[in-house]
Amino acid sequence: MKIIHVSRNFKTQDVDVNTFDQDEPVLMVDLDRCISCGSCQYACRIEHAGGDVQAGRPRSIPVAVKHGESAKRTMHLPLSCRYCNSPCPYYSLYNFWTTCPAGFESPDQADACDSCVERLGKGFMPACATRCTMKCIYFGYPRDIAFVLNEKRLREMGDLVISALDGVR
Amino acid sequence: MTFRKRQETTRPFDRTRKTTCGNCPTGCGLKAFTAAGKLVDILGDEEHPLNKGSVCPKGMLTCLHLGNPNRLTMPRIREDVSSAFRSVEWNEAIAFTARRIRELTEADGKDSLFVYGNETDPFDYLAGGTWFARGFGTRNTPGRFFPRPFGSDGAIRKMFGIPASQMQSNTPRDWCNSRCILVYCSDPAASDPMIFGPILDARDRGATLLVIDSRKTVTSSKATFSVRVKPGSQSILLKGILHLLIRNGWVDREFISEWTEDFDRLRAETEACSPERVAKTCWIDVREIETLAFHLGKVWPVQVIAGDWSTRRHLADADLFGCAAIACVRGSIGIPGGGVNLLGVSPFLFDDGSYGGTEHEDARPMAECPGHIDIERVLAHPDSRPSCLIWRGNPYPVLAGGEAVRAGLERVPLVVHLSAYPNETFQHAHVSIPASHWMEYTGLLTVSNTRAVQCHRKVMDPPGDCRPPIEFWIDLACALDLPEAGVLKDANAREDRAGVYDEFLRKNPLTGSMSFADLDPNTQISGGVLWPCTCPSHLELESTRFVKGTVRGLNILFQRNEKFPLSDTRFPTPSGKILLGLVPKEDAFAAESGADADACPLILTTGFLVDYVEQFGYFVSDRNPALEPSVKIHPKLAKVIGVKTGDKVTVENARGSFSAPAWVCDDVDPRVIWCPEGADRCQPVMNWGNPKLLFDVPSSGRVSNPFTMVTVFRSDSSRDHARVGIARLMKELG
Repeated sequence: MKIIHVSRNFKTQDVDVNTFDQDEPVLMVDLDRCISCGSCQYACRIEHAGGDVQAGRPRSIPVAVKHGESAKRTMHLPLSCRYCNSPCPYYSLYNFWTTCPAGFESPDQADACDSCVERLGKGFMPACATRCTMKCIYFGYPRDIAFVLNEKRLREMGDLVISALDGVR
Repeated sequence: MTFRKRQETTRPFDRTRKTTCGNCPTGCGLKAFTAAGKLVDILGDEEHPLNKGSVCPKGMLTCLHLGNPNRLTMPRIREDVSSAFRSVEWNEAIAFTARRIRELTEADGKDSLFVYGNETDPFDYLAGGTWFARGFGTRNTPGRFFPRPFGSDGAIRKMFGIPASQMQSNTPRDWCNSRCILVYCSDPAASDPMIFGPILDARDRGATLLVIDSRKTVTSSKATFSVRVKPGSQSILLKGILHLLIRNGWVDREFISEWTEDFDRLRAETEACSPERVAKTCWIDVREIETLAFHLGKVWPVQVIAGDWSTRRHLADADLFGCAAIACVRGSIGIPGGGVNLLGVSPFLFDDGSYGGTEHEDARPMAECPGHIDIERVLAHPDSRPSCLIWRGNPYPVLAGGEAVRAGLERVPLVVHLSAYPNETFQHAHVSIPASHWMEYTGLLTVSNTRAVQCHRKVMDPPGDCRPPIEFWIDLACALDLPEAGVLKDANAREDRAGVYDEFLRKNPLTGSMSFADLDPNTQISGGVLWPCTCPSHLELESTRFVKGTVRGLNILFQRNEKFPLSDTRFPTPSGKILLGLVPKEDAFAAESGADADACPLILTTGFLVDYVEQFGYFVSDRNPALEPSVKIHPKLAKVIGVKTGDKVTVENARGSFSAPAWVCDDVDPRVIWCPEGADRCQPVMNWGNPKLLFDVPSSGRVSNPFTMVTVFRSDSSRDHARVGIARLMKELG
């Protein structure tokens, strides 16, 4: 699974969805709509908690993204995790962050992101995309994502930067 | 294969039930999945026209309330607050309360009983509390505690003929037709996240999103253009914008001459508010006012959104008038995409002591009920001697007034508290009644950001002896032998309690044509019914040239060529036009800000965090209290007083002090510090001191102050050292 972030305002690294492997699903986060409410993190935990969601545990859910066969990369879903002595300066500026600048990892972190295989098997999007409050997470094959991006590009009059998480490509 | 955003659980379940979220006034549709009576998952209802399948963290984590080990499950009583509670049966607690009320009111009179209410409390509590208070004979009904500018005495009522508590001319599904949206002093992205969806949708379709606030918020970070003004000076900025709109001729002359009165007076009143003067008062640049006026003046239609549940207490007449006047002079009333859209509106918020016309035949006439009162003044005023106070949720930590109010509360001989949690208000009660969560009983949701009446359905059984508030009121009325108590008790005994709710809906002229059965999302179209609902045709989806409704009822009020419900004219004012001439004066916060400027030069403002559930007075998330920074301090100020993020700082003024970890960021002005409200010592999270201790008791007839003057220093260093640095910084900033 690839993860890309799209935004009109925040620029990192340009990618072209059309060059992606068309059979590898992509998770796209529209940062212009994200309000860092934390729904995606809760969704992940509820989905993988086996019905046992309880108060009193740390809030962070970093997700390890499988890349290839061996390499693992940790990705935080859009909200600041508040695990470290947070909110971090990045959070303060933009109200979200995507990877912890300090490199903290929660002891409570989920296992590698399995992109909710059970849901995918039924034809549903993963939990974070399903439950996102502002509907800013999309999941699909590159052609579906290209369709969503075209729509957004039309709205934003072409002024749009699509970026991939560093090294995922 | 394309993946779908299906709101389906992957866990085994045997029953799905649609209900409506009662955490905040937004009222999102939910689907609850249960297995053998136990909740297994909660997802959004895709068919609900507002949330369309999404829910915010508060709704998603409702499961944390249902199985929470901290919940109160048994009634508790005690003779005085210094002794320990003892758990008793429900009937014993009711008998104890009734006996104490009888004893105390015989000595002090029936008016010494106060039933406190906040306008976002559940319908059961407010309707039942009003019904009980009027039957008992006290004048102090919950409605008298609602904010005055939103009532029958407010500016909106004088302008449009309906109070601000009922003023939402265009419902959220129509907001995407707007070309410019002004969000005024609200942070819907944090207080009611789902209502921010329609606002973002409009922005994505090309509308300009403008935000005026005293701090940088999540909402303002998503805006096309946002302005951070000096706390308390926002209404002057509105006048400055009106001044520029009128001066540049960016007004709809046709609408003004045909549908408004006294426009000349408005022009004269705003004449003095030149951009230069306003810019100086509001700590902003002249160009910022010009940009705001340009965006509002160059497109059409424009709409104004204000008054979410967390900030409405601080909106004065001048704020509401300014918001409405901008929409009026731009001719954006009664058309798709326009309007004055206040959040948290309800057909039941009457401040005259009634609750939508629910009356006993032998109740005291409403004319005898005097106007608005503040709970802080009731508790702190030396002449006021309340003998019984009944309240719910967690109002204690958000009471202003410092020690005087706390001491006043300790003098009250009987405090009855309805709540689900042992919060700080619970610690000051003599009787604690365990309240059901809204998923544990069937009830009405009338306070809404969408101008809809909806219902929530029982999904699972409540724990222990928890019961809905209406049962408390009915049982208490029976114990005190009040009239009509038996009738309501019989109606309440039915499984879904529809009889009780039908009675309330039928008696309110604004909801007269709807019944409880029309609201059930399991059998009817999701989204409830919009009010005013005064004839059976209002129970159908609107389909006109302008409006294709997705919710039953009237989507746009004040449409041209249509009469307002229950009125003979387009606007229900005596003249049938909007009155623009009654320009209210700004509330004089200057008196407060002028006090002890040397000792307390900084401004403290407060707000709420995204996961605070006002209904319960409780944070749903599982924050880690040790790591939770909370007092926002600008880096310049932090440098002067030597503070880093996470350091403990003390904020104090003459009324008191509190200590909490600092959060250094540039969301606030260097002259302002910000702190979240709702924290109390008994929360499992954010259990540091309470910022509202430092606020002054509201003066008679004025809205509660949105800020107070304080000083700040590191908790482990001296205040004099910080004072010198702060004085130097203030001098630099002018």
